[in-house]
Amino acid sequence: MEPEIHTVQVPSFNSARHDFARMAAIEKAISRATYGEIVEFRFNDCRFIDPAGVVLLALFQRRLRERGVQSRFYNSTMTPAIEANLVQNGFARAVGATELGRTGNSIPFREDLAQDEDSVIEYLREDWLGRGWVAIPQAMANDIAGKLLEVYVNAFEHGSSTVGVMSCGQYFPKKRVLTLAVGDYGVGIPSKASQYYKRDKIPGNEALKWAFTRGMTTLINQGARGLGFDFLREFVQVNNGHLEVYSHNGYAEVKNSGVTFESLSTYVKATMIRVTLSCDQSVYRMPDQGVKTFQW
Amino acid sequence: MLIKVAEQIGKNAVTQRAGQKLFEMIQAELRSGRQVIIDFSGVEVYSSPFFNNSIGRLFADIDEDAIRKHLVIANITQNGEQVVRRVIENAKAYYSLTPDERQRQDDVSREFFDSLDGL
Repeated sequence: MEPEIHTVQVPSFNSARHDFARMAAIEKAISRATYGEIVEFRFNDCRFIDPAGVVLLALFQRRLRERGVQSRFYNSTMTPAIEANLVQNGFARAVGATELGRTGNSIPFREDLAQDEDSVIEYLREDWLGRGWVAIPQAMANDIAGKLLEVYVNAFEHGSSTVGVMSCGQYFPKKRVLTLAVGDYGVGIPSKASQYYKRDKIPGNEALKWAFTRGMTTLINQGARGLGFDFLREFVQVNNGHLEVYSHNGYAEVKNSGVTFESLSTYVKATMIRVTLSCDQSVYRMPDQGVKTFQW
Repeated sequence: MLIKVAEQIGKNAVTQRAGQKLFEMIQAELRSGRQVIIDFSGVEVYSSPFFNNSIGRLFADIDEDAIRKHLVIANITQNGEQVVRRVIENAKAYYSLTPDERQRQDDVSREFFDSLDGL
């Protein structure tokens, strides 16, 4: 008997909220595939896919693999640009293709099954910040790497993702920005807040607001924590960047002008963090290069 | 006691594990009222999990004045200083609460979410 084949059409994905809604529909559709079946990903209508879309597709594929479902990505349905992007950033190889190579504006797809901070720091400093697209001093690159590392640490500490943490980035030369997307299939911020407060349901916007509150943590009896989003929010706001967090139906957006939280009508099981930084070095508040000795 | 962090844990002061190692080196010294100098020369990247598990945890059972008096943080970058100061501020606020007060703080948050039911 032939295995059942589920076919999905991957839409164009530019990290707008309606793009996430479409991906949520795909996530729901493929959740019906069972052991031994096949999911075909076709790209006939897809004209662009940004790093968050790449990470979501990778999460889908890994989750399907966990369940014994085979995924097929049809490069014959892709535009040359989409195919080149997915080959260059390493996604194609990660999902089974044999093509190698990284050129252009892609920042490699990365999959962390265990926490390896030193390796993540090298990725952020060398592959993301160190390609010459933004001219910042090393001290600034170290500062940014430390703040973005908090995203990974949060994902590992709170997420319990069985497929690990995935990331991908891209440089957009016309907009002169660098994007990094980090996603996982952990329990998600709204569920974590619900577990902690022993409540059935917490609205997505309030759960995200809670996650951004300084000192809040769901890790009981582990001392004072909960500063990860706080540092990142502050950095993004001071340096004119953009930060978005999607987790289930919760959404947070940080811009220079402020922070907003929303409950979305759609639900994605993944948690996705997307950071965009300007490549215009004049926007950065450069750190003092010196060192200091103090008692407080 | 002088601890050169780069020699002990490397150039990235970021992990909880590394923080735990530093904590174990300094806790007894500070409890005994001996001076500890933590030298960050050569450390490049800082992140809050490291400081939460090393310096932040000190505030759980060592008096703040004793920490002020005996702990010196040396040769730290501006970013590292920003991170450690925020961690200390957060730890002081957290550990200044009694277990009952911490419970009440959690209850306040719970009541906040309860209040949303009526919206």
